[in-house]
Amino acid sequence: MSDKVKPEPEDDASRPITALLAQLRGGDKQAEAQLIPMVYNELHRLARHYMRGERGDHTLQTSALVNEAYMRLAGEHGIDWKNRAHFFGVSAQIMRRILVDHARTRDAQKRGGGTRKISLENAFVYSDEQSWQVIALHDALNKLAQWDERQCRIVELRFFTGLSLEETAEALSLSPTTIKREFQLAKAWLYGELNQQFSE
Amino acid sequence: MMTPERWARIKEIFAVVAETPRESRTSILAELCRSEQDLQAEIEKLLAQHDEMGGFLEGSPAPAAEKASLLQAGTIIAERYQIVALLGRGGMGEVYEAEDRELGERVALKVLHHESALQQDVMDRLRREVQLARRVTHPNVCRVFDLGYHRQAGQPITFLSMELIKGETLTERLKREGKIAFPEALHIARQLCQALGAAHEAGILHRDFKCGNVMLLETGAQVRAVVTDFGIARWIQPPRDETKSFATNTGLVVGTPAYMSPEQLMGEKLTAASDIYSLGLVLYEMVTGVRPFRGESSWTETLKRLSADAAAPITMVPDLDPRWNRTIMRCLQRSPAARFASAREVLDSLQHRTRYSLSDVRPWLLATACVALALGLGGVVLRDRLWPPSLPAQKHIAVIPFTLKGGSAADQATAYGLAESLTQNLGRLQVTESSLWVVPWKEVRNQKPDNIARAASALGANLLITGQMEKSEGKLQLRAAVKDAHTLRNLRAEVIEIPETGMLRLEDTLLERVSAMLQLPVPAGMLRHLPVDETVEPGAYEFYEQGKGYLLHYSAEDVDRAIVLLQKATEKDSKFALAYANLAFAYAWKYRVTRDPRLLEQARSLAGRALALNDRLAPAHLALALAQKVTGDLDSAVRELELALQLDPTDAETLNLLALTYDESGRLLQAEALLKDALKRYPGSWVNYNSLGYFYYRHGQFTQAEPLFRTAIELAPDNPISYDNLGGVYLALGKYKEADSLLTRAIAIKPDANGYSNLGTARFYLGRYSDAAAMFQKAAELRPADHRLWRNLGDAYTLAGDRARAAQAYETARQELEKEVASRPENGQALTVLALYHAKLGQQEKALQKLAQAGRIAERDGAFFFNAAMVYELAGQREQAIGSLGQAIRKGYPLAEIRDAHELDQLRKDSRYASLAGGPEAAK
Repeated sequence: MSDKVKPEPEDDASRPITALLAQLRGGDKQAEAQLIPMVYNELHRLARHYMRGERGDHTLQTSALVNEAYMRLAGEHGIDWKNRAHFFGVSAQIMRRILVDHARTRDAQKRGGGTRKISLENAFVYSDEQSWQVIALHDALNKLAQWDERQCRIVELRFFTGLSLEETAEALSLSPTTIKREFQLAKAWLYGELNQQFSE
Repeated sequence: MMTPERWARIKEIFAVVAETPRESRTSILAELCRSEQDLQAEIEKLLAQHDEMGGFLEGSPAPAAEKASLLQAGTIIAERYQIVALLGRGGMGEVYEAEDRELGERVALKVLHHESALQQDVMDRLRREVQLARRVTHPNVCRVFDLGYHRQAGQPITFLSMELIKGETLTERLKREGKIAFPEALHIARQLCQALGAAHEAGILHRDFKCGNVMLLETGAQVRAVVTDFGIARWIQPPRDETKSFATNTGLVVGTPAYMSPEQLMGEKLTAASDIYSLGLVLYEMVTGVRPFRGESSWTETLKRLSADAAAPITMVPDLDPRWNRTIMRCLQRSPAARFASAREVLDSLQHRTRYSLSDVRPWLLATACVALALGLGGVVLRDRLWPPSLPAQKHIAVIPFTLKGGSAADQATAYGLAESLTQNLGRLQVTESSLWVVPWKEVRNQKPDNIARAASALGANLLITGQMEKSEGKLQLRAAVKDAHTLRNLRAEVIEIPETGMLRLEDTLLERVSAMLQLPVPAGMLRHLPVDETVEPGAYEFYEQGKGYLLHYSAEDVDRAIVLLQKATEKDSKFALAYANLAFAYAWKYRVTRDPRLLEQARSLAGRALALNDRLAPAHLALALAQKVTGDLDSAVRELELALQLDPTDAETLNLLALTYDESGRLLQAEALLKDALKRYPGSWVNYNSLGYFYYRHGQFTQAEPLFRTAIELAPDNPISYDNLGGVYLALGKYKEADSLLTRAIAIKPDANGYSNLGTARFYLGRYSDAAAMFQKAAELRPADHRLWRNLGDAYTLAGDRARAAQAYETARQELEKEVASRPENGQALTVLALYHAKLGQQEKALQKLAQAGRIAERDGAFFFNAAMVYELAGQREQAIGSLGQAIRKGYPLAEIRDAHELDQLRKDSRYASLAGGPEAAK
């Protein structure tokens, strides 16, 4: 049963991004500045692929997109879930930007009258029909950020990149209980906001 | 106006109130807000929203909106298919049941999304994939018929027509019933392996194999599993732009990440091993009910598979067969090279490879080369013609390969072939003559008795038929004799003269004369069963006989010669069915050796030709069965073999092959019944005892195998095969004493390294270490490059107390293994064993070093950890040894082997061992 197996390297700092993520985890804010352009390029490129073409019923799994970006950048040696959480933290804002931009182009074509139900559940599967909601959410989040930046981040991570409770906690160095509490309130408030916007 | 401070207060109060039960909320809220009305109102509003929001921003993805189906019932597509009903919606489009009006059958139509259909490169790939998929005809693979186009309301529609499978998916079944219980799990697993095997043979990878692609249909007693969407799934998804050059469409977003192999996730090239990985996941889910790493987010699950080992299924299902556990874990190896190389191997591993296979696997029919017997008979003295001595009432006959005096190698081949034909033909008489048993050709060929004196006891015959051919001046002369197998006295003898033009009737003539000698009546009409009843061009026949003679040797050059000759035969006579059938045998054999799929195609088409010319020709059915069997289409092979057996019930090859195929396709009861029946009909046949015994042996039913092998030995006391088998049984049953005496006799007949080593093993387990050492010594001398023999020797010396000699033996073992490691440095397993040898030599540092090295490259399976445990123990690191042993056990390594390992004698007394092995009764 002898097989060709690649010998594992001594350390997994073989890719620049893993080093940067490690620094980020250590609290180095500088690392974030370096990461962002790297990540943005990758995400943007990927997002373009998926959103290309005139498809009616277009579904986009955002978290998968970010995952893909992560894997391409970090390679197989970067599969440390903590690193990943931080990566996602960086990506969340970028992802939100990309989605909203996309939603705006989409939405412009779709606005019409009639009842609109709020159906945004998960950016795991975001479809064009929900683009107006994404825009509304974005605006609402901007509002929320004025008095609670952290809560806004939590929503970004949970919704736009699909991180789990633990992963979000890791990314923000908080406890999962805190995350849960914050998220509950944020959701309740955002829900109200969206309803309000919709009825305007 | 909202401020951060105000918001912070809201947050605090909200957190508290949201936790309290609804009845008390208002009062608590009022208290906490301390009469700030607007604050209270705001929080009340938030609470109301909280209660109303449901799964907002969280929870499972929104279900796809119910759209109207694209096609309505009654619509006619492509002027051929009439839609009956919508069956379901998949990721790629909708599936309809439709009536094929041209053929009057129901089919499934898979209609693709418009969008996908428009991309040109996707369509090209899809077309190619469909071409490949159409080639696979297998009962467990959903047939793909065609790619079609249609226009509806100006929109182009692309669709696939496929076999209609109405059942439930494996996913649905698992959801309903949790995991699948054992006999059924094996039944399903077998079908899945066969399906994958068949597709891989045809050159297609599935690439999206998962529970959702396995359909289960209740057909009668057992469920039929059908795999759908081979190779197609990948192309019928929202397409991606390939601005980067990836070898395959990686599609992380598309497809089902939960079942993807690591290399797929990393965007690397896919191979059959990737499908094997997915198969592993499906098997895992089948037996445990869940996938490995089922965690919170689906991506965590997927990513964890990339970096960590899954929990062995046996930890979740403690009564899981450890073979299954090992098999599944091996399929799930992250490195493709470490997995099984084919679905076939997976199935073998699941089914019946016991560890006690001391004897070689029987090479049914397509065996390797054998050397023709060259018996110098000298002149036959026909002294006995005046008083023909009586022939025994029970006739157990062996036809010894004929020899040739003068004549070319080609003629030699003919002579050889003639002896085989005679064997076959005499064998057919068994149907009507219950006192007759003919030793099958294969056994005669395998035996190669150096002198025919041993033929009797080696073959279980009491009569021998010998023949010396002489070819001179266009005349063929055959001196045939019937000899008493024990005394070698001629009981009958004749000279048969055949002019060349009578070659055609040679087989008939031979049969008539020999059966007359044997006083066996040839039933009227029997001769018409012989293949040569139509007019065959005489020249063709000669080529055929020669070709067949060569073919019987089953060596590479001889088979090639056979092909040339048989081809000539068919050129001379294009209706010569038997020649085509034999050509098919030849190609099937070559395919088995080289794995070149074109050879398989040829074998198949030649078999087809033979059948088209004469479908009552048993060898033609046999040839087709071989081709089918080799591609894993066991069900068709069984049908063909049953037909062949019907047409020629006495052919031992067919019978054994059918039994084997029943066995492999899981029809164990039928295999057993067939072999038992053969036994009943020919009770003098040691071969049949051996076959049935081997069947039980392979399935671990040693107590049933034992008496059968014993009888085989009684009937053919000098045949080493039965000894090997019985010896294996004894060792497996722990009957070391009996194994000892038996294997001693086996050595006497066939003194080879394996025999000595086995005998050594028996003595070792009997505690007779010096005797064991003596045997291992002999074995190692016969095969000095085999390090395992030296290791065994070392172990025997160690336990016999002779440390010096033990060290010498281990040192030799180490040297031999070093050579192997030097030539294949990536062999992790060898490195592990090398570490063990160092440990046995007391070279602790080196041992640990090698072990660490091995740990980096070896497959970390049960065997690895077991060896590691021994290394640690011998190096004095008990802690680590226990740890490794625990790992080994968790990975399903057999406890019996752990118990038998003398290197771990001290460790087993350690209290920590008891809890590892599951209770004090497990400790020795």
